[in-house]
Amino acid sequence: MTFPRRSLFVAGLALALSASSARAQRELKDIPNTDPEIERKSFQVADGFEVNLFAADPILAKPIQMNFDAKGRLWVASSEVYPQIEPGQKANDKVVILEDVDGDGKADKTSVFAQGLLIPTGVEPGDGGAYVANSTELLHFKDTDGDGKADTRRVVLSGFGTEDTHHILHTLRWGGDGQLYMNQSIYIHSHIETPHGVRRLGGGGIWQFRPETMELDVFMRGLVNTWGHHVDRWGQSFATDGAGGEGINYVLPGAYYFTAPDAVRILQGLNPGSPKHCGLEVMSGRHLPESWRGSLITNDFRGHRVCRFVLSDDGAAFSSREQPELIKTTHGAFRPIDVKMGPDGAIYIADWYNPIIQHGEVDFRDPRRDHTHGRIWRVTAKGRPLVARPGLVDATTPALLDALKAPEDWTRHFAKRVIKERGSSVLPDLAAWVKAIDPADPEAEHHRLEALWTYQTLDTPEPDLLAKLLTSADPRVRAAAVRVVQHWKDRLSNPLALLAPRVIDDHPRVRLEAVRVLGHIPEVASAELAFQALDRPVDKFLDYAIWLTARDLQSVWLPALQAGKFDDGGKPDRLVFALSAVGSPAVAKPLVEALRSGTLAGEAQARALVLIASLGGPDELGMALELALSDKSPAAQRATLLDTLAQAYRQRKVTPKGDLARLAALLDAKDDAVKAAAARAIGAWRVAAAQPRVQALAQAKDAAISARLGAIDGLAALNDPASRAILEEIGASKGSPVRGPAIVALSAINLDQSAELAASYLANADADASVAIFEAFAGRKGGQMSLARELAGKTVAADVAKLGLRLNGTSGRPEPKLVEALTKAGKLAEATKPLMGADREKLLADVSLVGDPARGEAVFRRDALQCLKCHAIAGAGGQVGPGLESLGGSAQVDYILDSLLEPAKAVKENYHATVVATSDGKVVTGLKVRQTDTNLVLRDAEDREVTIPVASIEEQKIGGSLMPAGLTDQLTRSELVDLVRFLSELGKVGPYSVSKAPVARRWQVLVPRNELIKHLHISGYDFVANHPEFPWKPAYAKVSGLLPADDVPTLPVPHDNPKVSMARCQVEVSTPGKVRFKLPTIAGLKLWIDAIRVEPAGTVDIDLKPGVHTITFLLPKGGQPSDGLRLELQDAPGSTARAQMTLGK
Amino acid sequence: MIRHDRRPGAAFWAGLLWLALAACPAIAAPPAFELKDGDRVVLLGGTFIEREQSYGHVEALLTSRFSNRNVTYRNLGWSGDTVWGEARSRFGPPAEGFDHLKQHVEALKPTVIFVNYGLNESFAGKAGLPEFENGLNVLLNVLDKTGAKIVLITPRRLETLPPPLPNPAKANERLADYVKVLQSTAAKRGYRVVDLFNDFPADPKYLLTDNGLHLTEPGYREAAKVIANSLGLGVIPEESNKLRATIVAKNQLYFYRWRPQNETYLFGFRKHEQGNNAREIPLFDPLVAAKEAEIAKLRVPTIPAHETNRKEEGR
Repeated sequence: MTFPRRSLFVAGLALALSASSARAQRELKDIPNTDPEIERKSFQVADGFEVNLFAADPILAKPIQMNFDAKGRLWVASSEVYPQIEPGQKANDKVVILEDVDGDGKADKTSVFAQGLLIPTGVEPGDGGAYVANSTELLHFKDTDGDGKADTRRVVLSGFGTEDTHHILHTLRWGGDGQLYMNQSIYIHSHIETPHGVRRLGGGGIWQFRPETMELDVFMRGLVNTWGHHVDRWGQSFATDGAGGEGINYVLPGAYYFTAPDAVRILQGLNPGSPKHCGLEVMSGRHLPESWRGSLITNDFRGHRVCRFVLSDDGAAFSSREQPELIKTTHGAFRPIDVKMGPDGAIYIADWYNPIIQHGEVDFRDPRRDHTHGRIWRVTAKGRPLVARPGLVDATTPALLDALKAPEDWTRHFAKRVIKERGSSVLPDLAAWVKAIDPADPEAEHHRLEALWTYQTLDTPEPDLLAKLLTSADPRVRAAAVRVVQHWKDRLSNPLALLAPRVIDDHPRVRLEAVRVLGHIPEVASAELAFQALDRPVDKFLDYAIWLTARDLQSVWLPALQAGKFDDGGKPDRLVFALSAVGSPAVAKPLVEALRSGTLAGEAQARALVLIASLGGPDELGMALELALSDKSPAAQRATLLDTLAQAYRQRKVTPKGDLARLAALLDAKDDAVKAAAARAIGAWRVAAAQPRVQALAQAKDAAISARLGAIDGLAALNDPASRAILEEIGASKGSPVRGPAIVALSAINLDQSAELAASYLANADADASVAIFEAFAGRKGGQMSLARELAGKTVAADVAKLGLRLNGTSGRPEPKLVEALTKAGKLAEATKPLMGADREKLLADVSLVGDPARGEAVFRRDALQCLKCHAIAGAGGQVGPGLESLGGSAQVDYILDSLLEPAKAVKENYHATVVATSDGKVVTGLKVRQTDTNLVLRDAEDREVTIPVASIEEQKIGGSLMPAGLTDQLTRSELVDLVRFLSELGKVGPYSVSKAPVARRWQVLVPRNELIKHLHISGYDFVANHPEFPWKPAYAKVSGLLPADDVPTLPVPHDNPKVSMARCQVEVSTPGKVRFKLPTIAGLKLWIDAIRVEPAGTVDIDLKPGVHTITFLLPKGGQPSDGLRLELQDAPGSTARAQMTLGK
Repeated sequence: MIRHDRRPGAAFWAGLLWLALAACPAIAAPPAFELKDGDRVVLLGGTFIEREQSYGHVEALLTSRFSNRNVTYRNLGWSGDTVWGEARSRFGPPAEGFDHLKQHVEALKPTVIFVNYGLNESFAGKAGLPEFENGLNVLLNVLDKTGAKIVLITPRRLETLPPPLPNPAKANERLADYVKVLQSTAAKRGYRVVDLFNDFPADPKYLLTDNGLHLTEPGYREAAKVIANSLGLGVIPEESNKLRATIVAKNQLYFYRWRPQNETYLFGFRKHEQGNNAREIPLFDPLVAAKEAEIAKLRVPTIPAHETNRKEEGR
């Protein structure tokens, strides 16, 4: 193991050490030399590129956002006050203008445009000056005398929240449509008054603002730190997230993303499992090699990397794949946070330059925070000519219009900005220019699109050009033109007629855009049109768009439907889709009518029934009950209906009309799921007549366990003396397979009594069997305390005690008495004492001196530590805790250590537990996934989504971390040192940086069970590979992408057969076609793709349909040694297929 | 040097002043409003109040008028706010906003509260009127409990600016209904009303806003005069720029005090991380007090050099 960081900065280190106190020495280890040349030399730059310093401190400090103006000057918003103004400190942050007058690639003129600002996080020149995001306000400054300094200041908008200064208004950018786009992040709550009404956004998102009309809207909602946004050549928006982990996000207008407030359904990014990013820019222009044009550049500021992604069309949206970096370095203060193309065709990167980037996790006054440095780097392609800087500001209008044909996005963008400032006087020239476009020009359609956007920038509708582009041969042009209809809708004679053909357009992206625009035209006809899109193929993005529009328009079409005035085109499945999107009780009646009409079949019918059961009143529920009772209905549907009906009672207290006693007959049904569901429903509705039958089923030793479990739930709900007696009896009967569930059921009725039964049950239980018991008691007020009392004097297995401690720890309200009782009962050692003072300092020092990341990774992967149960690396693993792939790039070693030892000390944003107490005495703890008017959804420590009806919530508060303390107690000191070292390497340039190659990271391995021998003997591996009954458990690749052979358990095989193991992973195909897998060459390896045996080879090409496909391996063990499995997804030459490896838990 | 956009010439001011005087009603006016030594004034409302803190005209005018009395002013304006305290809820449910409003007001133990709501609510139109009236009364009940004297300030009429800004005719129609509720509520409760909706010059010859909605610096100067006039304070010599600048600086410090940035980390659910730095926030109190001491020295009425200044500016 080498330590490049140390050798690089040894000079600076020696200097610093000599001048500092002993106390600060440990901290100084991470502070690099601030010489820009040392930083520059540390860059590993992509082949064919080089980097020069454009500008550096002291002429600028702490750059946050930068934007060019039409003159090619670079405007930089910067803050030395960040993160928090001190009492007595003057807010004197600045916007500076950097100018490269002689064109040598270095700034040679600087002016301080504006000062006296408080943490300005965005600047965008325009409208004769510049817009500046200044904490609560959006300001506009003007320089009226041309001296480079602002002399007027105007508040344009105010009321932006400042709950967190790394979330405040930022990422200002003009769209090609003439609107100013602005972002805010998760903690910000903004309340903005405009002449059109108040606009509010409580959470992350992107605003859309037209300054001259004061129209302000929310363009998208969500993402954690929405720190990048760019619009491509065709008007499509993409965003990056500085704290989410999904890489490039395709922005579907109006959509909700991760963490969006009030989201019912969210869209995901294109690169799940990716590190976090800041800034975003599309590469364009002749200076860059052709292969780079159209790439997206963004910054992994944690990992000191400038990253590149390549997009390709994928149905209605796009797929995105990461490529090798533009720049990477081990320099600990290189913090690329913004990227822009420049007027010369080069790439400019703003480097915030700071060893500390954490906002809340490191003390605001920590002396390691840098407040004075900052750089702008310029990246050029070696040996390629620069682009001549276009002289736009002084150009004649015809020359300016011709600049709209330039291949550089920069030039076209700024040509439109200059035209905008010239105003409507350019209109005659513009009309003539459009007319003169040569139809034979291969770019003619794009030129016309630029003209359309120019009209839009000038806010002057041009219906003829619009109509022409709506029928363009190029779907990208049609899609862009459709979006313009939204903005001109009130000034076009018949916008719906323009949109009608586009809703059923041949290209899914055009359909998507049309559906979304219709969501802004509140008419019944809009909805009727939008739902027509369901008649053609619908991928997940288009599905989302139709769903969103159905909701946006519900106040219009739902009343029309109820009044019998809605035309579904004779396709009731359109209606079922729309009604399920809305999910309001008002949809039950129209659904019943659709069902009665007999036109619904198959999945649409099943979906309608479940909707009716979950939303309807007694009459509609009665109808669903009839279907559940009928033995003509398929068993699975009957069980689902019964469960949904019972749920309707539990959540809404609605009971179906009709004779409920008939349910008793279902307890004799052939299907166990139907039996169980019937028993639960009988309990929910307290059907007295059926009581004895449920009691009998609960005790029937010959009945299937699943049916008996239903009966036990039913008894708990019935809660009469006889039922309680039976539960107690089962709860005390040793060896009964349903003893644990009976105790759990009883805990909701009589906590103390069930605690007594639980304590004696735990004395003989294994860890697996005790999970439900601990969870049940953690989930009730006072439950943990009761259990602790009853455990006194008892003995439990050490594993059971450990599990109990962990579940107590993840409850969000750990009970010290239970810790004490379990420690005694399990004869566990007392918890380790907190690591303090010199011991802690020594351990931290050892992390970098002797810590071994390879050994640390092995510790991390141990089952006993359960790290991956909650934390993913590159998207593979649990989703309860933050992904760790770039932890080391952002977090200091002391922070990592503290997080392991005292998880509650610092909790990452969006990972605070929500603790909810409900009216039925339950306590639920988890991460808030989403909340609507009716339901709160939490993800609990076991990675399950738990839905809680809002009406049942008595108290809801924000708790601490879900990570239990004491996880590392069982580690030796050197193991802890190795573990911290491994975590601190994650995301840094080196072997623990997640590779860009799309490799399988989430695996499942076949669990060895003795009964496998029989199956292998009789049916062979084909059967095992494809039979759903066998137990598989999660396994994850190492950071390198390898699933080690040792982590795939050896299977019991008929005695003379060679030893083997089996593992599988999944791939999701979004656009069908030929997909290529790169595999290791291992003798004896067998491969199945879905149920088909495929001959393994170094590369395997296979045609796959859309959907999820399973790739199963049989890996020989023993004999020939192998490292393990590594599967990489590659683009098959010439194929248009798009696929992603499945991630998650 | 920073100056503000669209600053009208002084001739306007002189003219307007005259107009305001001429418009003084002949009917018996209520007794003049008075601030007493030791009064603690709170200004409460949305953007109109919030932005007043950085112009300071209203506060400076009152300070000059009662220049021999120690009065403190605390601006609790919050953009986008309503009688329900909607803009103040942060992470909690909307109802929490009202609790915050209440806590902030009560902590200041006000003796006088100027209340300016109704504009944001008015976008709900006639359908929203009953809810507004109810919300207003709930708010006023809470404010009454502090024992403070309450003055309602109505929103100003939206200004008609050329397209592409929206024509405010409809918005003003809606707003008129809300102003009526404010007036009738004030009458019922025996409060004084400053009617910016009706008393502001209906057709000024220059622009008071830059977006139809929010006053510019000269707009605030004018609003201060309308308020003074409406309170029966007569013509007050215009305050010195130094006084106003000091008031603005004091307001800025107080803003850092009551609406600190990073509240999530200092006081909110991440205070376990930066709660230790919350100790800095009360350190703004002595800084505010020091500015108030400066104001006390400046507020002694000086016969305004501004008279001459204005002439110079106007030429």
